[in-house]
Amino acid sequence: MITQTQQRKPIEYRNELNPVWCTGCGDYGVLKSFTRAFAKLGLPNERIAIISGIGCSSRLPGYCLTYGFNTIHGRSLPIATGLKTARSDLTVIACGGDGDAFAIGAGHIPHAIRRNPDITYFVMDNSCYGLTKGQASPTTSHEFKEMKGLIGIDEVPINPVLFVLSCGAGFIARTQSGNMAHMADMLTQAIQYPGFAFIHCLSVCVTYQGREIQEVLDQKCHPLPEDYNPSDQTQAFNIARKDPWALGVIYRRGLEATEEEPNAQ
Amino acid sequence: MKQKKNLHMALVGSGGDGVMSTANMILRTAARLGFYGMMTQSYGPQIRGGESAAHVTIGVDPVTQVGFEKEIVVCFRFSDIARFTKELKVSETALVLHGKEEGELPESLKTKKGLVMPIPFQEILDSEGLPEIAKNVVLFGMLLKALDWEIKEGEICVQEVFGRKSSAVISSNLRALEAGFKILGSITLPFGLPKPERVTKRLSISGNEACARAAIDAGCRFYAGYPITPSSEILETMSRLLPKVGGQLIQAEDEIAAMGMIIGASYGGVPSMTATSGPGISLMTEMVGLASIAEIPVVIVDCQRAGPSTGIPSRAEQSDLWHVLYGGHGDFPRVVLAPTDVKDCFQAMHRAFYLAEGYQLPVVVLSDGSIGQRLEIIDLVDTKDFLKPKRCITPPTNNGAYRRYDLSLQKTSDWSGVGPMAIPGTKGGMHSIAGIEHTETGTPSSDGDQHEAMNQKRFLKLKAIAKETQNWHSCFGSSSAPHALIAWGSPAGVAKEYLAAHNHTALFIPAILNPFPMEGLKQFLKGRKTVTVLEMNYQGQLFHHLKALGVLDGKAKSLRRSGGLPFKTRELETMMQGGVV
Repeated sequence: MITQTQQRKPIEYRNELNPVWCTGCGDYGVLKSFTRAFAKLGLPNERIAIISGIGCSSRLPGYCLTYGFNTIHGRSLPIATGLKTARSDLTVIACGGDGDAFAIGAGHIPHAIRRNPDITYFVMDNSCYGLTKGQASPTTSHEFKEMKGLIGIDEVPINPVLFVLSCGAGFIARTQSGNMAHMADMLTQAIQYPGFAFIHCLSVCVTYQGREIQEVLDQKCHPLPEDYNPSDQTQAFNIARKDPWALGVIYRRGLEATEEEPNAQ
Repeated sequence: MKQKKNLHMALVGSGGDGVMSTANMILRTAARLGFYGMMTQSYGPQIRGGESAAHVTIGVDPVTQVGFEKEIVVCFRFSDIARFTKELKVSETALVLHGKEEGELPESLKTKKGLVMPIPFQEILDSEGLPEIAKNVVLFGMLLKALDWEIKEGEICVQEVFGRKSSAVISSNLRALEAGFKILGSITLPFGLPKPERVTKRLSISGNEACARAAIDAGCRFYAGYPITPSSEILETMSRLLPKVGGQLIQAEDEIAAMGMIIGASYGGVPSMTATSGPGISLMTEMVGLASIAEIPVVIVDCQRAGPSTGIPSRAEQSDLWHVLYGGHGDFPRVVLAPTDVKDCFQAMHRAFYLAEGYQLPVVVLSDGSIGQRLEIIDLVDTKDFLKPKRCITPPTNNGAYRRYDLSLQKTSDWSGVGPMAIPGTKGGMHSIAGIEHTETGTPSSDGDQHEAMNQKRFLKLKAIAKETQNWHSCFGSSSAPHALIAWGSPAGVAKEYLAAHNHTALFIPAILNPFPMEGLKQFLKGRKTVTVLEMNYQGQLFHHLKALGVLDGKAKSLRRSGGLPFKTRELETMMQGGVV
C-alpha cells in the first residue's frame, strides 16, 4: 500500500554508514536511485525490506534506512519470495550482482517469475566478479575475457533480458548505473508494478574494467525507439535479441493478460 | 478362544491390490473400537505395480512395534511373498489367506497348526457384479470376520472412507464388504483380542501427519518444501491444513529455495518450517548456517532415509545425526530433537517451535522414515501444557541504530544470548542484518574480536537451552539394574520391548540430542556395570558423539547396524548377548 502523505527526501532513506565500494563504482549511483525512488513513492521506511545475496552490490541494503538482509550467495530471490508471501504488506526488493543472479542463483529466476510475487528484482550487472577480484561472470563478453585472459573465453554470455523475457516475466526494464534519474524512474515503475518486476542495470567495475568504463557505457547506451510499445512482446523479444544497450521499459504485461502468459515465445 | 494382547498381521500384494488401504481401514476400525495399533509399509522402488506389504499390529495396550510373527497373513499372489521373507514369519497357528493360484504353496506361507485358505477374489467380484477395485473392501470384510468384529463397524468405516464419493460407489463397497464378511463362513480363529471395555477417542495418524498437525498447533503459519521420500506427507498435510488457519505454503524449486523461503518468512515474523530427507538436508546446510548466524528462528524436520546420496529413499536409518549435529562450515549453534514414535512427534514439534522462536536459531527435528510413514493409533494429545513459542520482539527504544545483536547484556551472568528482534514493518526499528559476521547493529565486520564476541553470544543460547531442557529424556527400568541401554529415535520402541523381558537392563532415551541432556545421562549411568548405545547406522554416530562429550567410558559398547529393516526384538537380544564394538 503506497500512500503519499508528505514529501519525502531521498536522504531520509540513507543511514550514516559509508559504503565499502571503490571510488567510481556503479553501485553508488544505484544506492542513490533507490533512495530517490523510495522518496518519490513516499514509502514508509519500515515498510521496505531489501534482500540481497553476496557480492559488492549486495552490500546495498546495509546503507539504506529500511529493513535489509544481506543473505548468502545467489539466494536473494527465495528469501525475498518467502518474506513477501508471509508479509504482503511490505515492499520487498531483491538485489544483487550478475554472478549472484545469473550464475549461482540463476535456477531461482524462472521459478520466481512463474510464482509472480509482487517483488522487484534489481540486478547490478557489471559483468565481473569484483569481490573475488576480477573473474569473468556469466555476462562477461568474449572480447573482454580475451583481452584480460579470463577463464571461459568460449562460453557464450547470458542475455539477461532475453532470459527473463522467455521465462515469462511481466515487467522488464533496462537501465544503467551512470543515469541516476533513469534508474530511479525504472525502479519506481517496477515497485508500482503489481507482480514480479525485473530490472537489468548495466553497471561498471572501475577496478577491474578500468576508469574509462563508465564513459564507454554512457556512449553505448541509448533510449528505446520512440515508437516502441512495451506491451508488445514480439517487439520486446526483438530488442532483447538485437540491442543490448537500449534503456527503458522493455516489456510490461498488462494486468488483463496475466492469464494467457507466459509461454508466448 | 485364546485371548492375546497383541495381534499381528501382514497383507502382501502388488500395486492395485489395495493392501495399504485395507490395512488403513483395519486400523481406523481398531481405533474406533478402542484398540491401539500400528501399521508399517514396505515396498520396493517401483512407483506403482511393485510388491508391497502392510504390517499391522493391533493391541490392547499402546503398540511400540509391529510384530514379526504374524497370526493373519493375506497374500494375493504366491510370487508376492518372496520379497518379504526377511520381514515376516507365519506363526504356527496362523490364518493364511491367499489368492487362487496354480502351483504349490510357498514354504514361507505354510503353517503347522493353522489354516490356509485360497480366496477366489475374481469369482466373488464376478458373482456380485463388483469392479476389480473393490477387491480391497472384500478383503476388509473377510478380516473383520476373522477378527470377530461386527459388520456394522465395517459399514461405518466404508461410509467414512468413501463418504465423499457417489452413493453408487458407497453402495457397491458396502456389497463388497458384505461379500467378504460372508466368505469366511463359520471359520473361528484360535485366538482373539479382548474387547476393550472403555472406548476412548483415538487418532489413527502417521508420524509425518503428526509433525504437520503439531506444527500448526504450535503456531507455524508458513511452510516451504520440496517433495522427497519419506517426508512428502508433511508437505501434503501442510498444503491441506495451512490454508484453513490462514497460513501460506510454497512448493519450492529445490531444498535450497525451500530453506530460503522459510528464512524469509520467519524474518518477516511468521513462525516457519520445512521438512526434508537426506539429499535435501545436505542441500539446506548452507542456509542452516545463515539462519544461525543471522539468528532467524526456523524448524526443519529431517525424516531420515537410508544411506548417502540417493541411498534407499523408502527405508529408514539414523545416519544423518552427525550431519545435523556438525554439518555446515563455521561454528554455529543449532538444536537437534529426536522423537521416538508418532505420538512423540507432537511434543517434539511444539518443543521445536518453542526453542526456535524463543532462542532465534535453527531447530532440527530428527525423525525417520519409519516414524514418518507408519500409522499409529494414539490417544488424543493434550497440548495445553506444552511449551508455548514466543519470540523476543522488542520495539526500538533509543534514537540510535537498532541493535539487533545487542551485546550489552554480555556481562550478565544469566543472559541467554537472545537479543531484540524488530520485524520488518516495526516503526523506528529499521536495521540491516547479514549472513556476514556483523556488529551489534548488523553491519558487516571482519574484526576477530567482534567475531569471537558474536560466537560467544550465539553459543550462549545453547547453554541456556541446556539448562531448560535437562529433563528432556526418559528413563525406564530399575535404578539398580546393572546394564544400561541408550536408544534414540525409532529404535526406542524395540528397546522398550526388550526391557519388558530383561529387568536387569535399564533404558535411557534422550528427547533432545543437542544440547544433550548430560546431567540426566550421568545420573542414569551411576552404578551401572555396562553401557550400550543402540542405533541404526553403520558408524555408531550417537555412540561416538557421547564419547566425544566424555560421558561414556572406555568399556561402553556400540550396538549398531545399517538401516533398511527395523530392529526386531529377537535381533536385539542376540546383539545384546554378543555385542559389537
